[in-house]
Amino acid sequence: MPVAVALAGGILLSDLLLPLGVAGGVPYVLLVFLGWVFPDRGAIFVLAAVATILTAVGYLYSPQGGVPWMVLANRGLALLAIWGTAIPLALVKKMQEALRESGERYRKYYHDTPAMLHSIDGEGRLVSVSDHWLAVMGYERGEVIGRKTAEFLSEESGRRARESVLPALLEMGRVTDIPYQFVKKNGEVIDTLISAVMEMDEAGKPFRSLSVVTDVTERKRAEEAVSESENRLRAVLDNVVVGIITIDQRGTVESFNPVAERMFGYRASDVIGRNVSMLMPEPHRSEHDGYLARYMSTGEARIISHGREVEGRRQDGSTFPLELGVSEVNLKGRLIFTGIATDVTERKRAEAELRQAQRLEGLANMSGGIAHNINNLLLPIIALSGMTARELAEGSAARERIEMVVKAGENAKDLVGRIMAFARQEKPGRATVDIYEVVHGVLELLPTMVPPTINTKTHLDEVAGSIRADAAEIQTVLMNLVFNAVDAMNGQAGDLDVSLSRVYLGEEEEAPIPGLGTGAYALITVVDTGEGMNETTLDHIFEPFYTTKEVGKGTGLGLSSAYGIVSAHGGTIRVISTPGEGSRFYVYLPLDDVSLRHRSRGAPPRQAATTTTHL
Amino acid sequence: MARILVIEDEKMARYTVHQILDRAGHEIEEAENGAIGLDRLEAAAFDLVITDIFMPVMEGIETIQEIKRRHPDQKILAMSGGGRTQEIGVLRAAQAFGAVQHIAKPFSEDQLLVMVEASLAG
Repeated sequence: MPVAVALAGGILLSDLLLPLGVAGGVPYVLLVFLGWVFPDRGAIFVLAAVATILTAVGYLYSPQGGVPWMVLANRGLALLAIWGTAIPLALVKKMQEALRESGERYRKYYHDTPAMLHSIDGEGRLVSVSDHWLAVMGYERGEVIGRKTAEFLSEESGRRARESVLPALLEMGRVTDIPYQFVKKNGEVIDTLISAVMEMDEAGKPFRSLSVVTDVTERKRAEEAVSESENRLRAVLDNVVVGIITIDQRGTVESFNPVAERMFGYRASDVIGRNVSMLMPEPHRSEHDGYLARYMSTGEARIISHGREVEGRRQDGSTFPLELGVSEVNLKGRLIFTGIATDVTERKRAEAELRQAQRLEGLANMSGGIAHNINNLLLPIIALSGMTARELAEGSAARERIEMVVKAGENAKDLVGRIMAFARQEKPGRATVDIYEVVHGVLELLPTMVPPTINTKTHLDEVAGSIRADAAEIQTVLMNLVFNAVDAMNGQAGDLDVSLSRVYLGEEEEAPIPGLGTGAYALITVVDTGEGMNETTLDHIFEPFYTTKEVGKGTGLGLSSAYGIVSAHGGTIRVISTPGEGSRFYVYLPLDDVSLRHRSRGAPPRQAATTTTHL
Repeated sequence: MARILVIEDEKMARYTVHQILDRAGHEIEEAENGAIGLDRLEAAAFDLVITDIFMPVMEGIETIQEIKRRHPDQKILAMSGGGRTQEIGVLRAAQAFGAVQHIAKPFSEDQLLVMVEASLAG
C-alpha cells in the first residue's frame, strides 16, 4: 500500500513538474502493474481508476505548453494504456487463479481421496503419492518420493514392473488392472491391481503418470477361501459313505459322486446329463417324472422326503433297496434337488433276521404261556381219570375207555413237553459231553429211522470236541432233522448225509453267522435230496405248529423245538434249500474247549446264486 | 396220614390234588393264594404244604420264603405249571428257598403220592 502511494505520488509529481506532453500519462500504467501484486483482482481496477484520475489531474495541473491536440492525444493514449493493461492483466490474474484453484483441487483430491494414488516420472521414480498411499504402506512422504516404484514391490512384482509393465505404460500410455504385490514398510504383503495413464509432454516423451492402486488382498483371500472350501466340499462329497446325486428340475442328473457310482454300477459320465429315472426300476421310473412335474406346478413336495425307502436299479439291471432323502436347494432362482442315497440291503437283511428272531421269541413266550395253561388242565384229566380207572372193574369197557382218556392226556403231556422245550431258555441237565458220542448215538439208530430207499452217508470228525449240553436234547434235535429229511424224500430214493466237523468262526469271516460270536463250534450238517423248500416255507419252518405235512402226520413241532434247544445251547441252525433238489441244515453248537481255537478253519458254503439262506 | 395244606389258585388243580390226597387218606385244607395259605398256617400246624409256584396275589416263591421265615421247619412241596420260561430256574430257586421237593404238572396220582411221601420223610 505505501509503495503504491509513493509510486503514485512520484509519478504525479514528475508529471506535474515536467512540461506538458513530455511524460504524459503513460507512466501511470505502472500503477496498474502494481495491481498484480495484490491478491484481489479488483485492486487492478482500483489502481487503474486511480491512474485514470491522476492522468486527468496531471493534465489539468501540469504546466501549460505544447500543442493542445497532442497533449490530449497523449492523455488519451495514457488512458488507453492504463485500461488496455488493466483489463488483460485482470484476465490473466483470473486465469492464474483458476489454474491455481484447479491445481489445488487436484492436489486436494490427490491427497484426500481414500485411494492409493501415485505418480511416477519417465524413469519410474515416484514424484507424488496420495496420503492414503502413505497410510497404507506405512511410509512418510520423504521416504518415498524420488524412489522407484519397484522398491516397494515384491521381488516378483518388481521384476515384472521393470521388464514388462513399465515399458508397456511408457509405450502405450496406459495399463489396466495389473496385479502387483506391494510390500508395506512392516514387511506385510498386499495384493493389488494397478491401473495407470501416462502423460506425455509437448515433445511426446513420457512425463508423468497417474496410477491408481486397488488393494485386492481381501478379495483375493476371499477367492482363495472359496476355492479352498470348494475343494473341501469336493473332498467331502467324494469321500462320504453315502451316494450323493443332484438333479435339476427336469430330473437331469447334474452330479453323481463316487459312492453313487459304486452303488449303481455307473460311471458319473454315464449318468450326468441323463434323466435320473434311469436309476429307478419300474414302476417308480414313470412315476418319478409325474412327481417332478406335479411338484413344479404345485410346489407339493411329493418327492421330497426324509429317509424314504425306495428301490434303485443298477447298471446290470438288478434292483436293490436304498434309503433316500431328498432336499431342495434354490440357487439364484434355479431349483436343484439333492438326493442322499444309502444302500440298505445289508441293513434290511439284518432287520429281517432280527424280526425273524423276535417273532420266534415271541412265539416262544406265547407257547410257554399256553403250555402252562394246558398243563394245568391236563392235571385233572390225567390224575382224576387215572383214579377213576382204578375204581372200575378191570377189563370192563368203562375202564378201557377211561384208560384211553388217561393215555390221551399223557400224549398231550408229551406234546406240551415239546412245546416247553422250545420255549425253555434255561440250561436243563447239562454236562460236558463229547459231541461225537452224542451224534454217533443217534446215527446208530439210523437203520430204524431211515427207510432202505435212502442212501445214508456219514462223515464224523471223532475229535470234534466237547460241548456243554443236554445230550438227550441234542439227540432230539438230530433226530428231528433226520426225520424231516426222510419225510422230505417222500418214500422216494435219495441221499442223506450227516456230518460232524469242527469250525472256527473268526472275525475274518466274510459272512458272519448272525447271533454267533467268534470261537470254535461243532457243526452238524444234515443234507437230503428231498423235495426242498421254497422261500415262503423257509420263512416259517422254525415256527411252532408250522407244517407242510398233511393233518395227522407230524405235529409241526420238530424244527421249532430243535431251534429252541440249539438256541438255548448258544448255537443256531441255518438252512439252505432248493425246491426240487433238497435241503441242507447246519447246526452250530459252541464247543467247550478253547484250546482248539486254531485247529480247523472251515466255513459254511456261501450263498449260492440259486439258493436261499434263512435262520 | 398227614395234615396237608394245598395252596393253589387253579380250581381244577386244587380239586384234583385234593381228590388224590383224600383218597390216600390224608387230611387236606385248601388255600386259593399265598396270603390265605399263610393265614391258615397261623391258625393250625400242617405236616406238609403243597404250593403252586405261579400264582397271582403273592407268587409261589414269595409264599415259600414267607412260610420259611415264619415256620423254618415247615416241609414244602412246590408244584410247577411247567410252561413258563425260567421254570427250572424258578424251581431250583424254590428249592433253595426251602421247598423240599418239587413236582411238575401234570402228574399222575401215583407220582404225586410218591413225592408227598418223599417230602414228608424229609
